[in-house]
Order: sequence, then C-alpha cells, then structure tokens
Amino acid sequence: MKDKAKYLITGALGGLANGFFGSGGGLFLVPLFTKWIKMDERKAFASSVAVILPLSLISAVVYFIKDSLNLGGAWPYLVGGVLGGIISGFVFKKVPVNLLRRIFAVLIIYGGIRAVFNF
Amino acid sequence: MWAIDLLIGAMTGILSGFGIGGGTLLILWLTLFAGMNQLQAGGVNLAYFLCSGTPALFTHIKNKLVEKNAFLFCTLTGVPACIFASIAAANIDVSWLRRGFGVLLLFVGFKELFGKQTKTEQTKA
Repeated sequence: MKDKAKYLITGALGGLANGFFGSGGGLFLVPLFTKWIKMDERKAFASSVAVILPLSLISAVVYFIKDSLNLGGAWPYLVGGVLGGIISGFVFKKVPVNLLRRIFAVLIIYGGIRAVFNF
Repeated sequence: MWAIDLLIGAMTGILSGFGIGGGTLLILWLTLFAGMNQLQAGGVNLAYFLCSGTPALFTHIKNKLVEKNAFLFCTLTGVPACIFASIAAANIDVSWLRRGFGVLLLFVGFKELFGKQTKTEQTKA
C-alpha cells in the first residue's frame, strides 16, 4: 500500500480515538507511523504532535459545544503538563525509553482490564 | 490535592515528551483515582494536550521533524473522523465509552509488550 493511503487510514483512526477518548497521539499515531509506515522515530513523534494537535483543538471545541468539557479543578494537571513537557526535553537522552515503554504497556493493560469490566 | 495533581501532570507530560502515551496514563489516573468519568477525563486530556503539545510543535517544526505528507493526509481524514467521534462521544452511554477505551488499551498494551521492537528505538535523540 502507498504511504499516502496509509496516512489516510492512520489519520482516520487517530481522529476517531481523539474524538471518542480525547487521546490518540502516543497511543495510536506513533506506533502506526513507526511500525507500519516505517518512519524514523523522531519524525514519527513530531508528526504525530502536528496531526493530533489540530484534531484535539477541534474535538475540544465540539466537547465544549456539546457541554462535555468540564475543566473544573483540572488546572494543576494542565500546569504540570507544561512543566513536564519542558523537563522531558532536558532528560530525553538519559532515559531507558524501551524499559519505560514496557512499563507503560503493563500499566495500560491493567487500566484496560479495569475499563473493560467497568470497576 | 493540587500538589499531587501537579506532579501527576508533570510526570505524564515528561512521558509524552518521550513519545510514550502520557495522555493515556493521565486519563487512567483521572478515571481510576480522581473520580472522573471517561468523557470528562477525555476532555481534560484534550485541554492538557493543547497546553503541552503546542510549544513542542513549534520546536519540531523548527527542527524540520514534521513529515509534510503525514500532516496533510492524516488531517484530511482525521478532521472529519474526530468531529464525528466527538459528537458521538457526547451521545453514547459513558460506560460504553469506557469499555471502548479499555479494548483499545488492551490491544495497544499487548502489541507493545509482545510485538516486535523497532530498531531505531534506542537511537533516537
């Protein structure tokens, strides 16, 4: 399949995840870019941000219109996110990314089980 | 407690910076430990990503890391898909929304854990 067709499919999947769950970048786009489209990891991550950011803005506007956006008390997460984003730039080269990915996988499997069975 | 929330936000923000799904973990935290439902947690994560991703994007553009075709063709289908899904999300039972998220997490989690690792993973700068 041509890369352009793969991008169209990847974008549609990312858009669905973004609208339904408010997520989709690191979860969907990065793995598809690297493993399916064989993009270089740094480009994959940068491109996923470029795609998911406008989608997140649109989804956020729809959430707001639909009265789904409730940010009461969420400001510490938002401030923390900005700080974390800045910190990650400095420690990027010093972390065992593969190990972190495995820990991440275990955590989301745990979360996935709890979510599927609703407890 | 706002200090713990700030710390959680910072930790997931650092992971997002590494290309690991920090937003996914934030949603899990919000739904499992902060008492939010799936829809509210998703909305917080959208706002969260707008805060943390915007400065990152400027850096990526400056470093010429954004693949132009990926941006153009992914947004072409991604924009209508996210409009459809965000409208649908407001109209379906939030417990089903959570189950759907769970299925997605299990799928990605098992693929991540048992799938092949990409060669470039340890060499990224």
